[in-house]
Amino acid sequence: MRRLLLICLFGLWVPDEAWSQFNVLKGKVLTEEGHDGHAPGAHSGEASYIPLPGAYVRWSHDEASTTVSDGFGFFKISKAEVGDTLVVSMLGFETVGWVFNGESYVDIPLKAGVELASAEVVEKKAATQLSLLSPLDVQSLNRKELVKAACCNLSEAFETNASVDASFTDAVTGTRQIRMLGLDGKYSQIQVDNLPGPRGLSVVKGLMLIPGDWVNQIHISKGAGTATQGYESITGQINVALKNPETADPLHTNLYVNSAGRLEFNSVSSHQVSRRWRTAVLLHGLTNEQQNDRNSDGFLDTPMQKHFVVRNEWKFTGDRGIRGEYALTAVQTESAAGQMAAIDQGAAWSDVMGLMNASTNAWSAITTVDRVEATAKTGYVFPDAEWRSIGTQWSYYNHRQTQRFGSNYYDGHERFFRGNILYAGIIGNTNHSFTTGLSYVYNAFDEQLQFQVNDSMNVEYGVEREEQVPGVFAEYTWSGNERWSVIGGVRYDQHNMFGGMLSPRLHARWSVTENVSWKLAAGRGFRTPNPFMEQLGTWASQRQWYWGYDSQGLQPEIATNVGTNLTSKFRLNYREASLTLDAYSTWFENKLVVDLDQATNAIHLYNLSGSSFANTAQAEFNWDMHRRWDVRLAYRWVNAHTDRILGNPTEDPFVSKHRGFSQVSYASQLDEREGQWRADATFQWIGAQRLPTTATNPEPFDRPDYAPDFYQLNAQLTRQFSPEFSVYLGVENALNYKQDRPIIGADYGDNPVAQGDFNQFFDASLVYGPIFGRMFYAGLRWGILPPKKEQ
Amino acid sequence: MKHLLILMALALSSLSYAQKKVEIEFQVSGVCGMCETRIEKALDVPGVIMAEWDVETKKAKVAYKTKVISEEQIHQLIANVGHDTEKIKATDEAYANVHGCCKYREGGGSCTGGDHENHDDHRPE
Repeated sequence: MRRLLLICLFGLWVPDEAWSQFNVLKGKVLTEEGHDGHAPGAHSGEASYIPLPGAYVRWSHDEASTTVSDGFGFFKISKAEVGDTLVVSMLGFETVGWVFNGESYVDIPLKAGVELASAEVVEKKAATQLSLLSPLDVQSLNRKELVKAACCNLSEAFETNASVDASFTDAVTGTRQIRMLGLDGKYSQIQVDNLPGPRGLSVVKGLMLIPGDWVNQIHISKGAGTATQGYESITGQINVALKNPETADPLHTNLYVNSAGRLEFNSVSSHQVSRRWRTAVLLHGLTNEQQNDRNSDGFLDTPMQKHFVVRNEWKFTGDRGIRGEYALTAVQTESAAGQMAAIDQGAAWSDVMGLMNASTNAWSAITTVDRVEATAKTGYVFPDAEWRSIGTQWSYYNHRQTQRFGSNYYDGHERFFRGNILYAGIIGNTNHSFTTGLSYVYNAFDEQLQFQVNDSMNVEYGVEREEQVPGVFAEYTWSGNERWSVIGGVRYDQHNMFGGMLSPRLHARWSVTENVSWKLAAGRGFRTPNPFMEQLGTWASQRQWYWGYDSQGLQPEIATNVGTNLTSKFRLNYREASLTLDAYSTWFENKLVVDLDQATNAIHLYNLSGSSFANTAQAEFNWDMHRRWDVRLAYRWVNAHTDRILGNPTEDPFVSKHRGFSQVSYASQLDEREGQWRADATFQWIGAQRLPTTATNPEPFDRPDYAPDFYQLNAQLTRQFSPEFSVYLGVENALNYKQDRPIIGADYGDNPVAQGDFNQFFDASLVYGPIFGRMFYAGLRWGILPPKKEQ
Repeated sequence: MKHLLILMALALSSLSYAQKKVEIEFQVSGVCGMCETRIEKALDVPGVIMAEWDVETKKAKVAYKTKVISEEQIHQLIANVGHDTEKIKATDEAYANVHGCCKYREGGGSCTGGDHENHDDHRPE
């Protein structure tokens, strides 16, 4: 039956194609700026762009010729005379006029324009979109998806997504980390507006400094990713597209408060400065001064903290093909966590840090981050040949992080610079396009550490490293056939410490039928480990650090990733549905192995000898079940192993082999003032996770080798009074699941813990589940929309 | 896992709910994306499972439960918001209420040129 269907489709398709050669102009409408990191205006074929379905295409002189681009952005229109103008328009994009010159195929990129205040939009739009056409396995989460979990920053935004796991690093600092394809977030390349995002020393903490209300879209791309954006992507790329001066409303504000005492303010405002320049200011402030200890273990369940982040963006749109985006960001954070004995009940924030630093018999942790960031992107499209373009991307940051965890001190300083120059063009025609370029990375680290071994001895340790990596890359995209497309890329980087490194990348897409697409991805990547900041959670323990890599020196982590994805869109009970199946495998040539199983008072780091791999499989089903109801079901399986020395367990700790996910969303009909009720509930089952062994610890300091599986239920109710104003109320962890006795060495009412025992056994880093229990939150969003255009 | 299965069963049970469903296709006059939204919104009523109007072919595809709503009623709902269907012509009163750019009776209205983006494409991105 399926075969018959295939033949039918194929049979229909061939004559259609032949006919089109003569009478029909075919083409494709896509976004001008791709999600995979090309400079604005840089062309490299369909792969870099998101196809735009539903754009209107017509000849300017003939209204009856109006046609609409299909689900893949493709359109067909009868040919007209050479010199006639094709008009392409779509909501949210600037209308384009294109002069016909006898071509038979054309790619028409649309530039995102000011979003219209469209009173009439009632058609439901999927909150998470899957592309059938891009060879890359990309999932795009838009605002509608992001507001389902109003709380709060990027590390929490993945709560409603099945592809990314989020968990706490430890039981005291409230820091969350993500995991993709069964591996830590450090193996994914996280980008902000297509430029390097949280990485280096901020690889874990950086996610907490991007508030959800700043974000316009998140593109999650599984597999090695594109070669044009560097060598660091192994398990995937996550590109966070922030609201920018062009797409942001004149004003958007958000207030948030939760039952743990966290108060947040976020805002984005945009302003047209002149005909060519637009600017936006983004603000984020967070404060939490409430002392929470629900499990009465004497430790704060959530840290007391203050965050302040400000970002200023500028966008330039020139008349002659020049476009630019420039941004400056400054970050300052302070957080305090640990035993409440160090501070008085109700101590003012201004005194907390001082009290903690002065307290000698209570364990506390203090972290500060100071960071500045500057980025510049400039693109130029050749006016006589719009398929040819040049783009430059510059980014710089200076990151300073100091922390004291108990009697261990850390002072880290990182400077990063990257320059990327891209040239995009075609070979003969637009079926063969390429992007090539040069990059240069400068990354300097200066980390000073001081560990207390015992009462009378401190060990000091310093890491000073300067990486300089010039690189060259090329990527070729073949899109000569609607059913097939291929992106092949390769980059060569000359690392000053590790020598020459080759990172090949390959992506292919086959449209089995119009609604079924099969993708393949393979690629290699490498990165330099920064264990002190990547193992942030380990600081919240008495574990001593041991470096087993001294003989070989610091080695890069190198891994290859291969995967496949089958996406099918279909109708179920007349309503749109999709089913995605994927499987990925990552194996390491070298890895900095983190071994917490050797002893309960040690963390061992050494280069891999033997094998390390992570295999994952995922099934996801989305169904637009009813005009007002959406359903998502997903299941994810991971098998991750790393050979450790001395026969220690090979199964990677803190990884749940099974995870089940279900989500139901409701949105009411819009009323006259465009008010709406929305409700979302996400229910998850997180399977058992192996924990580093504590079997050698005496009672009550030992814990099971496997964490029990548990359930998480999050729900949120939103009342939108008008597009300008909405309020929301939600609950996280509604089933009130709490990890049993999360901190080893804390007093859980069995017996007072002697100071000596605490010093020997304390460990708050063996965290697999929530600490705080049920948490309620509430917030509001208020803004000023752009003036409605005259109709 | 058990809970997941229950949820899945619940979701699927709405399918097996024995009720007669019919899908029909018919011509509806209109011009642009704004018309599309208006037509589809008019059919956002109990009994209609799916309603889509194609601006290119001017065809409406509607799936509905025969016990809840009739084909006649569906045509009437569209005519009520000012769009002529194969079976029912909109009253002049209803037609007067459609937006200026959607005046299909006067030869296609004014969804042209640069005005396009203002009202012609109220579609999801």
